[in-house]
Amino acid sequence: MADTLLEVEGLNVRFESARQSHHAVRGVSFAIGRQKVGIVGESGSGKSLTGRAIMKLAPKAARIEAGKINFDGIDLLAASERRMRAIRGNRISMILQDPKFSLNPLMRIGNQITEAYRLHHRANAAQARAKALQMLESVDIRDPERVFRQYPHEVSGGMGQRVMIAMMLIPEPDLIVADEPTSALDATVQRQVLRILDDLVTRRGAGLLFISHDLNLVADFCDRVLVMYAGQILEDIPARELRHARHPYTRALLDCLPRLDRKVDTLATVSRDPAWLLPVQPAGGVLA
Amino acid sequence: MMRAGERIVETIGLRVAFGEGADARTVVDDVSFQVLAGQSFGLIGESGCGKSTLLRAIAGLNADYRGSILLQDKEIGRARDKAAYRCIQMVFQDPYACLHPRKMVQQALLEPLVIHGMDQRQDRVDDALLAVGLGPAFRYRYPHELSGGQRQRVAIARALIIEPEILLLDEPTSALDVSVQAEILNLLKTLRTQRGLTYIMVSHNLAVVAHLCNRVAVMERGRLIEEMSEDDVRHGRAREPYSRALLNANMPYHGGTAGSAA
Repeated sequence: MADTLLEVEGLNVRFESARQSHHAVRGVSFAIGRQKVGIVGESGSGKSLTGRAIMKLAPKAARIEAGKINFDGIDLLAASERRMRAIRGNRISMILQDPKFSLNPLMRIGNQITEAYRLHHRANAAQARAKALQMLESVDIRDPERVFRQYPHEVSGGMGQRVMIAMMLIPEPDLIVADEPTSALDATVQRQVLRILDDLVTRRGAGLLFISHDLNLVADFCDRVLVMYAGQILEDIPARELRHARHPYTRALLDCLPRLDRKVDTLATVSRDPAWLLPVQPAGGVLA
Repeated sequence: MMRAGERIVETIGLRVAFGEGADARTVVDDVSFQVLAGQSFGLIGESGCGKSTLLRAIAGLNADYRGSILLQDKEIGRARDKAAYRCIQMVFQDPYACLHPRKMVQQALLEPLVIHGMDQRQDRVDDALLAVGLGPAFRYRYPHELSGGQRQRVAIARALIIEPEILLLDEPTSALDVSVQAEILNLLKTLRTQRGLTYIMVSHNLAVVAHLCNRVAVMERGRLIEEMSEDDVRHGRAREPYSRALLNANMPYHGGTAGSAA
């Protein structure tokens, strides 16, 4: 990988309170170029927190430590909050899981998208509007004019998710952190959304960090896959080799999916082995 | 109790519209289908195609429909009696939203028993919790003390505690991890065989539908356009172009070319 966009070394995230401490991300290191990298794992494996820690958007209670978080030559660890605000949205943007909670319920959809554009680009209202309508169209919204005027509660979940993607992609970021962007969508729409993301990544040479619990999707869509379990990266493998993964956890995740081409009576369930936890630097962490 | 193979649910010309006058939108349009007792019937379609609305109308959560809903060959009116409600229960998509955050599990489970005037309530609560693989110790938990999968188990226990014959499942596993999804699907399958339940399930995940259902209907913009067997779904055999596109969309994604076909 000649062109490294993001480099993370020894990332640790801890939640500490008076009574207990929870070590949520344990010494994670990886690098992303202008490619599609998937992070898979179950809920609670620390995959979303990893994505958020990169953007320094982790909850206040979280203590983030890392050897290095470098984005395109910028040391994010040392960057001020002011600097981060200029980077977030413009250079790195984040597509979240649930449009119900991440769109402003009191603002018309069109205004939210034009706001995102005008925050990072010099444009007058008419230009921004044209750009927003074009963006809505590019995420396959059939009637962009109508959606532009609507409020988030008036659109379906799939539509809301596409609106959010339009909003996040309109500043044309270099790195997109997508946290389960398609898990609320049905297959047809999911495919459209993936195609849109794929286009942007390929056409603009952007990097994509795709957080998902859907192994098959990640195997088909991404170039490389990181498998996370209990805050650690268990495996870092090329996506096309995911189906032949050796780690028992990755195998178990693959086997528990119902499949169209294989009829089974009872699905396999995942059993966990404490030995999968790699030894990390002792810091009073409590096992998840 | 119905014998397997008898008609248990039927809708005739069911129509649900939202809004009035010029804004009216027909969400479920002239839907007629039958489900036999003991069957597991799947509904698939894009989001917004009306599949959840159809399910809610059958569940009695939306009385504002036209057409008829028949239960065991008798039409049930828009104002239902308790017996009709008891016969049909529903499990919702979001296990985080469907349990009252300030009620303990046992309160959530006792409430339907009180409403339907059932006896031996404490025993039934324990039995229901055991049936979904949780156990009586979970009585005293609040929803925030449960994981997503455990919450969905409680929601299933709550639906089953009044011994319904039909279970309506609205995307019961889409909010869950794949590992938990496998556990819940296994649980649903076991419960159906043990209790001879009839399922009507809505999902956009074809593999999940094919795993659980023997018959699958495709909905497009409020209409039922095609019925298929589980085998047809597995082999991508569809008559209508729309259903074919839907089946194709569930095949693996391969780069930028795949989308144009759908």
